[in-house]
Amino acid sequence: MIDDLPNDAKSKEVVRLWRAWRTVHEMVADREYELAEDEVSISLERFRDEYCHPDGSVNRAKLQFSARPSDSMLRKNTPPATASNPDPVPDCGPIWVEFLTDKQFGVSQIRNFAKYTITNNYKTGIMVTPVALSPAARKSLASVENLAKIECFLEDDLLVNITHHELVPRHVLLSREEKIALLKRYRLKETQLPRILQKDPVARYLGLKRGQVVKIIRVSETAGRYASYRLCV
Amino acid sequence: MATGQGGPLKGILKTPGEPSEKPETAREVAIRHATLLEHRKQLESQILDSLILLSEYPLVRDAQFNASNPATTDIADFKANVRLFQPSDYDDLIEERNVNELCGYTLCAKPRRQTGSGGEWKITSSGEIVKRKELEKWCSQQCARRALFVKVQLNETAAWERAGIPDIQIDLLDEDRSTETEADRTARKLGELKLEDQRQAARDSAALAMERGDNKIGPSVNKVKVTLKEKDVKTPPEFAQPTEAGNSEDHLLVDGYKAKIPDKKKESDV
Repeated sequence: MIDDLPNDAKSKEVVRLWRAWRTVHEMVADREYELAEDEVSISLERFRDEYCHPDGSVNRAKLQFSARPSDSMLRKNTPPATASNPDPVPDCGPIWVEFLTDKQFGVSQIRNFAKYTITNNYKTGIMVTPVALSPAARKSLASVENLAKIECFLEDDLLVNITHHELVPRHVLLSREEKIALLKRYRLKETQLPRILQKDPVARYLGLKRGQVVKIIRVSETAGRYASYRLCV
Repeated sequence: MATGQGGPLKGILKTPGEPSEKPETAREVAIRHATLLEHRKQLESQILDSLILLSEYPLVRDAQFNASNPATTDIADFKANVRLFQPSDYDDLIEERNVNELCGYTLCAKPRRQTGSGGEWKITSSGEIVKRKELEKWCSQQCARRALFVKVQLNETAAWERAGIPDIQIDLLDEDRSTETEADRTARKLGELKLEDQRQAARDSAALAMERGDNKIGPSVNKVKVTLKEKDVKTPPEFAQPTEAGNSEDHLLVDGYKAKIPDKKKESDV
């Protein structure tokens, strides 16, 4: 009986981390990085086998992975060729995801993570933390923005995949060409589009950058489907 | 249609006339605002840098120094760095120091208090019930008082509005004043009085400058070159004094001017 309680807490922790692990994989796959199907939909048993200590607690140090962008993602993120820049390079790169183990997060932890991400030539780093960052740490993220995009998620926020909720419509990121075509079709300036904040949960999920446009496809009773567009600010 | 006859139809929309501002002025305004924003950003990153720097203090950790008697270099650095902080930045600093497992007061080298395991609330020795988080921010009640003494001196106004004011000074709670003599104290009081006058004058002139719309960052584009020019004044011609010599028309003169009455009315005057 005495042994039962910590075990129960441990198995709860395992389930929590398994769910966060799955959501973060779905997120990376939805951003069109290359991930195998069995990596994304990992079962709880397999998770237990691979990432747990023999005593049943999760080995957090193992909870990390990287992924490369797929061809379609590279195409989407390549700016259109111009006369001055005939061979543009895509502005996305490999991604690094890590579940951090510290109990508190200050500037030094963030700096370590950013340094690791940058020295290993990752373009994006996702850190999943059990507790919130300190305010100074959050501010210091902005200083490395042009070297690598560091995103922070709380474990609690990843327990469910918000995009699977029935009230969240489908968000599709538009490529540069599609954005230009859209603005031309409706004769709009960029600023005349409706907006979506960068800190919006879905925008964070998709890792939107300022200036990108998402197409939001809603179900409509009268029209079947209704698409609207939002500019990330 | 009623307006169908005569001439081409005229649209009711406004004609896209010339933009009210010239492109050069628009550019200048844009650049001015951009420099302002850039200045703010620089100040913010400067504050963040000092915050990160101060989160590791004190640098001098000898046995002879403690929180109530820190090294003078540390005091000077602390005062210089904390000058631009807002109270919220100061709270961030305390939190950051706690992450580094230090007491929240910047000049204290002790680790913060650990109250062990337990719930969210804690009963202190004096019988008060306080949040554990509040209690664990400091190494002792003394340090909490010292830190809050600094916090209440910080200013809520944004950093860029007071970056130029040189005489914001932060005092520490227990700066040693026991050894000074009566004469020293009087001198200090006098100095403070004088300083207060100067500050008031500076504040007044800053407020006036704000009202005028002056700002110290970047050249103002609203300046117009003004040259004062004396207007040539023409004195009215002196009218001739009516002579005594009895002109028959003197009584008709008004200020030396005789109204002409046309002899014969012209057609156009009718």
